[in-house]
Amino acid sequence: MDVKTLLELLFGLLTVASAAWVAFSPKLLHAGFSLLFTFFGVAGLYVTLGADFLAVTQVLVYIGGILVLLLFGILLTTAMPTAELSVGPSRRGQGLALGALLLGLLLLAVFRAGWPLSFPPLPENTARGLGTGFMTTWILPFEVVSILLLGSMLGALHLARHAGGEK
Amino acid sequence: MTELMQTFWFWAPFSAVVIAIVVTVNALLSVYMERKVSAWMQDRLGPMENGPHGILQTVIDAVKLLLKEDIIARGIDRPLFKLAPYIVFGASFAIFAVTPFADGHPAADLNVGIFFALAISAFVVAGIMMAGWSSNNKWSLYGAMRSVAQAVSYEVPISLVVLAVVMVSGSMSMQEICVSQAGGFWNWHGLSLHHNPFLVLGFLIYFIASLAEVNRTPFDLPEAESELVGGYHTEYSGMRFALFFLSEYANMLAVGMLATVLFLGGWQPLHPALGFIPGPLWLFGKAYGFVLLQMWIRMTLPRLRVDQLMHVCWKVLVPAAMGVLVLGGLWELLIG
Repeated sequence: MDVKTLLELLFGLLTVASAAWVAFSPKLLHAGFSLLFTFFGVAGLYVTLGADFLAVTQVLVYIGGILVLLLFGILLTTAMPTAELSVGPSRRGQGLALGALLLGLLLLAVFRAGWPLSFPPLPENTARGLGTGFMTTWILPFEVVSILLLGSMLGALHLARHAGGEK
Repeated sequence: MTELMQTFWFWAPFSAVVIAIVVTVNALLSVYMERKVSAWMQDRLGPMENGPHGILQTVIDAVKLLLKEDIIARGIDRPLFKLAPYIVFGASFAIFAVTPFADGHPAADLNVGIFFALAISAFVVAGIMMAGWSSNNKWSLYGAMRSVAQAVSYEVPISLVVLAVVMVSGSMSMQEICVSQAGGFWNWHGLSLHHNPFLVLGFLIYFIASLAEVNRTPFDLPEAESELVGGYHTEYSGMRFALFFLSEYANMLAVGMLATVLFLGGWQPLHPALGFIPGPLWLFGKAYGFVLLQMWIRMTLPRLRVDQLMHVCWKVLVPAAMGVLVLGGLWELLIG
């Protein structure tokens, strides 16, 4: 087994183990912090697959943005950080059914997909290719996403302004 | 294999040892420097007893810190409490892995280098939050919340200014950003009025925001002793406290190094004729200049209030950084 496979396995294991802890941890905040390692593991998998720009973006957006926001949300909500999560038997059944359904769909997709057996050489600089792609071929989707983000930002500002009570 | 993988595989053992030495020696040196600078500015002598001019004082303090008992209080969240210092320390360690110490230093020639350096500070933020919450102490939690709010806010102007530098240099590799500033101090991004004058303003924005990023005065609210006892590390002692301490001084040096690489040519000499002085000396010299400046400001300015802190970031630095990005881009397009 070469180093690359070993690293892939390690990162994969980290991702799966920490994701399992997110799902099964009885403490909400522990689940939140466990997500840190899930995101890190996924970033590591991206690196082993040759997508270094994507890996760094994953860390910046998911750990620096989403995770911090999530933890802030938990910490600022009274009684949430210490809340013990418990799931009743009926919910457990629903969860199992949904999980099995999703697993089946994913397995179907994995086995149906025609995976290419030969790979083109990996680009030396992935950031450059992505940047050029965004500014030429994919300019319209890129702009649409920007407008969507701008809209949600303005919406959040509007909500924050009027939530204070003084209208 | 990708570039990031190669970088990791060939340079990990070597870099780790060098960086471990740099981080440790840096803490010893910076603490001594901080004591002496603050003493001189207040017309005192500072440490004088141990060794010539008290030079061994910080070494003795470090030994004392390592010998101290590792106190773990009863009401804390054990696993998170124990994990937090390692995450914070590991992240501040990782920034040095992509810093180019000299010409042709291969570990630093990562094509997403500067982006990596920005992203990795997310781990510091998460680690500080972990430490503050798991301590089960309101002072720690207040300190952590302040620290995180501050770091997340000031990340925005920093990223915008870094983007402007990347735009002008045409690369995210820190090595190539250094190379693009070759040929003397008048070509450095932070000083060159003839290349792109907006980057000089960007340099100023970066410096102010970086003070907030590393929780230094006038932005030291997360550790305000008079209000919060000690901030997010109040409950820590012994070796675990030492790790926070090391990473704090490592971060001071790291933002100095980033400022040097982005705006002052990195390892480039002041003038091409001074090229016989090796690159690492230039880099560390400039970076320690920044550390000195941070200490100087600490001894000079009072602390900001929380609302003033947010005002400076969102109403002054962010619009200014936006201006630097847009106008700098226009300048590059039309004149550069």
